[in-house]
Amino acid sequence: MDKKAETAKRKIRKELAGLSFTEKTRILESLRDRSLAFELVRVFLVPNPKDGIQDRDHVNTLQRESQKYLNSHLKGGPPNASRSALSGILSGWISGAGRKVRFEIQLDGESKGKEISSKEELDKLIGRDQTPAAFLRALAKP
Amino acid sequence: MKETLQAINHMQADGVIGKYAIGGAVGATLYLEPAATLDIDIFVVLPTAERSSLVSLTKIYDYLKAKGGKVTREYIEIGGWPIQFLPPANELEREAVASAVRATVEDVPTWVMSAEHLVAIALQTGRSKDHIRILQFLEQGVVSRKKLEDILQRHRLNSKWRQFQERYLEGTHG
Repeated sequence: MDKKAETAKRKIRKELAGLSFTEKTRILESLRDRSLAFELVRVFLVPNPKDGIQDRDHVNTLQRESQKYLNSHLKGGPPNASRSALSGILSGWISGAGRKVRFEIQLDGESKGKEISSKEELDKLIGRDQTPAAFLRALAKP
Repeated sequence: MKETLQAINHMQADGVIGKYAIGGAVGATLYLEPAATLDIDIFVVLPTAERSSLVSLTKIYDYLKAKGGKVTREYIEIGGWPIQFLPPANELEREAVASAVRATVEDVPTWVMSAEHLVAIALQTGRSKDHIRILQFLEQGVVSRKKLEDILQRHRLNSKWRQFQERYLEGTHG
């Protein structure tokens, strides 16, 4: 981050820190609601139908780990390695022939989703420069 | 959060809990910019010291369930916030509750750990996210160095503090 952006960020943090506890708890409530909403985003590892996956337990573990890192990535907060860990797992999975990754989001009771089958598509959603907001926008697109 | 704090204050007035203090991320919010969190950590002094913590925590949960609270794992949800009640696990946490500062949320009074105690507990806990929080406290200039050093000295955290300074603060302060 350049110096100007860093200074601006510090200024905003200082201003936020200076709010009353009541105002801050209202922000906490918005953040909590947003975090809960993010938990409605699901990731699925879709195998190649012709793939004779023998180790189903391993796939289930990968799926659970992916979901955990996805939740953490979407919640944001202090810098963490969740996006990178998620990208690592899903890139590894998708490199197998015919395998896909499906993301789903519940919006107003309706399920929307995106299925991807290449590393390039994955990078457009959770690549190094992709923010959680951009990811959610991409999922919500018709 | 108003409803949550009102319920806790009523519980205190009814003698189910003694003094309490908000800690963790919500406690830190009194001093720092708000950061996303899903629950509230409330450190409570239990009035029945001779009984086990487990029994007294059960009383808290029973009281709040009767008021409409919903129990999920170690949390009880009141006013939309999952709360974890934590009896102080050591002398530092007991002191943090005893010396908590008064704050208000929408005119509801409550108690929050002091900035210095939150930093000391974060240092003692020592996870990466705790270290990040300590840095935020220092950056905001809301910690009295003198008070913090006294606490660290009293609770034998000097060595951890030196390690923290060497790792994160070397060359950044005088």
